[in-house]
Amino acid sequence: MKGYAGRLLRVDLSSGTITKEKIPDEYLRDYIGGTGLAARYLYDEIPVNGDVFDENNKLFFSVGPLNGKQFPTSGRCNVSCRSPLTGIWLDSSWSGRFGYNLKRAGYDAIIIEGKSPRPVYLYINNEQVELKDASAVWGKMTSESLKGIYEECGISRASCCTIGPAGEKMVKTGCIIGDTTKAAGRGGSGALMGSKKLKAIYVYGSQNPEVPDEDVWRKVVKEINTKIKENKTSQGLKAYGTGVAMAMADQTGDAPIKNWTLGKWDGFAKVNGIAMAKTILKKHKPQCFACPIRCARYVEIDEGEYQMKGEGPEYEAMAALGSMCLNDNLESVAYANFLCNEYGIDVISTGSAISFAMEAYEKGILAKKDTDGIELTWGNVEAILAMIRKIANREGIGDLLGQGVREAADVLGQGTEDFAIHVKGLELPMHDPRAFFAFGPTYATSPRGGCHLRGYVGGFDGVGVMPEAGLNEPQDPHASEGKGFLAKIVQDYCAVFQSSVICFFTLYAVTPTDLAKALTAATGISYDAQKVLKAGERIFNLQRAFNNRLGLTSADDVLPERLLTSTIGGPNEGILPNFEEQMKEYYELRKWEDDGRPSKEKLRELGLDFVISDLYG
Amino acid sequence: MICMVKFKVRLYGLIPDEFMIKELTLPEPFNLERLEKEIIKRFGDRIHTDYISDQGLLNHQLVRVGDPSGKRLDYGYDISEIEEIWFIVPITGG
Repeated sequence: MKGYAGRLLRVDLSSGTITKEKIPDEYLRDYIGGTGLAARYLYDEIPVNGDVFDENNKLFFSVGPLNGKQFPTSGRCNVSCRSPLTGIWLDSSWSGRFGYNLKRAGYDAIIIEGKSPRPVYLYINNEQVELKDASAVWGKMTSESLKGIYEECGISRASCCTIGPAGEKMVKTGCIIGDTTKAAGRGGSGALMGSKKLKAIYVYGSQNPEVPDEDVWRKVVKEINTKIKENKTSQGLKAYGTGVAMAMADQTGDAPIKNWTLGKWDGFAKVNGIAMAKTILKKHKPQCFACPIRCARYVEIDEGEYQMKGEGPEYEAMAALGSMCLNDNLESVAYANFLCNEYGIDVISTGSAISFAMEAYEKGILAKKDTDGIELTWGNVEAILAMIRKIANREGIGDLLGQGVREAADVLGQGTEDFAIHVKGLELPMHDPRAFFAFGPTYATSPRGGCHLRGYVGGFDGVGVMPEAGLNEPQDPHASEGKGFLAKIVQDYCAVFQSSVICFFTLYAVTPTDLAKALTAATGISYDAQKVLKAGERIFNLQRAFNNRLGLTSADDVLPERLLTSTIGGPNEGILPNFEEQMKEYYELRKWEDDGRPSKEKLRELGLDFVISDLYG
Repeated sequence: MICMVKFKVRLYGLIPDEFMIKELTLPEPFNLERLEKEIIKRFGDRIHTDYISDQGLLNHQLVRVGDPSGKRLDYGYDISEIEEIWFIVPITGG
């Protein structure tokens, strides 16, 4: 089938065997690639019982039909597994150019199974695939690991992804860092790599994936690239990076403050993308393959205690390590972000866990004796940096916090579950459902737990339309009605983005009709907008079924009570969504049963008949 | 006697690639309608057309207007005592 390599690599780390397998055409046609393809394979291959670190949990790295050529933002790669942090479905992706190389090496996916007896890395150079000794880089920070492997393998334009010390120690918020400092951050895929003693994957590919007609393909790519470039939001992101949203947070109330309690924080004036551009931003260096947006920031701090060079903090890091902890020192936020990347831990979960611990400390549940003498007070920069190190090294209280706030609250008790802010074990991203009501049902139902990207409603709630799905006018962000609908259509659409393995920021410009055109040009399969959205719905529901089979029900589709309580001050004080109404609307549109399972009728409609007997007996 | 009032406006996201803080002076009292006309007069050629309404004002379906505390502002009343007025098109980061 055009647009695909049509095969995957299966790597059994226990035996050291590597095989190349054909992927059934119908899997590619029905699930596109990326997270969709991962769902189809892992639904069959990951057992529903057992510990997440058992050797039968698998990692699935995958790309889609748009990767491997010049499609905008197509350097990305998806990774899926059963999450060490949440115990349920996980997909995550990172940018750079790994996905480009993997596809050009001639593979749509890599399945990693078993456990290696010793540290290894996977080496892929087109047809040459082997496991190599990783003892020289085991224990190294991510930048040193990447440098070591790049030097050892020596192919210019190759890509590598690695884990850091945190992943090796199986910190459940351990992430994968690719190419330079691009993170597949959420859910602990790095911890699973660590448990398998797989330090890294190095890939180089030199084949040009076939499309039905190169001229048509190039024309479509050019059209979409221009559309993205000219999009008004793309231009804002290019000018100031994602951190620009922090500059607006006083008005939107989007960024959480002090563990989701306050609505107003003076620190937004200091910690934001515009402030960064005026201070520590050094170059506007393109860092992601074929990206016309270029939101990434390169920063340097040459003096003082927070010296670093590298990727600057994104919005999520600015909020998680800034406003959540009341830290208004931008340089320290950049340094804390740098440390997270170096150790290989997720900045959102890490900032959230530190914020959680600060609240526990304030309430007297944690004391100095529990923190090895660290004053875990709000805004204490040294405490934040010390906690990052403790989490990454599993030292003292850091060992507990690195298991996520849900597990930390289970252990600490004393009412800490009231301020452990997560959905299904995944710490929430830095977007407040009291500011944009559509985030409520999105977080509550995302297949990987509380997530804003498996339904990037931020690109629509109050700002965008999607006529192909019936959204013709931007909605009022503070209206509850219609937000079940919005969450559903954007989740379906984002499932296709994650399966095509392209960046969500292109979604401001790329419509379902555009994406259909691109998928058609890549594969020769005739797509239209409805077919694209239907594929997204199929993928979303299969991931839902994956979770249902693990025991997930409607009782898990909730928001933390704190997020249904007013902020203290700020633009959204006293404004709350009617979450129950939103969820009722959502469930009706999804055609899910009251217990949270997709109905048999819906499963049949989506061609997911094979799931019915698993869910209904 | 006409009394002039000096104040700041923040235009965040209306001009896609430029986020600016500008100092303006207007005779008091003035309302939001008057202020938006002034903004469009000065910056209208750079403001994205989606953000300008058919009435020649800012499109409040997409543009949010607030005081420094984040309280939303609307037409029809004197706003000349507010020292800083924000006009934003929200971006929800990454």
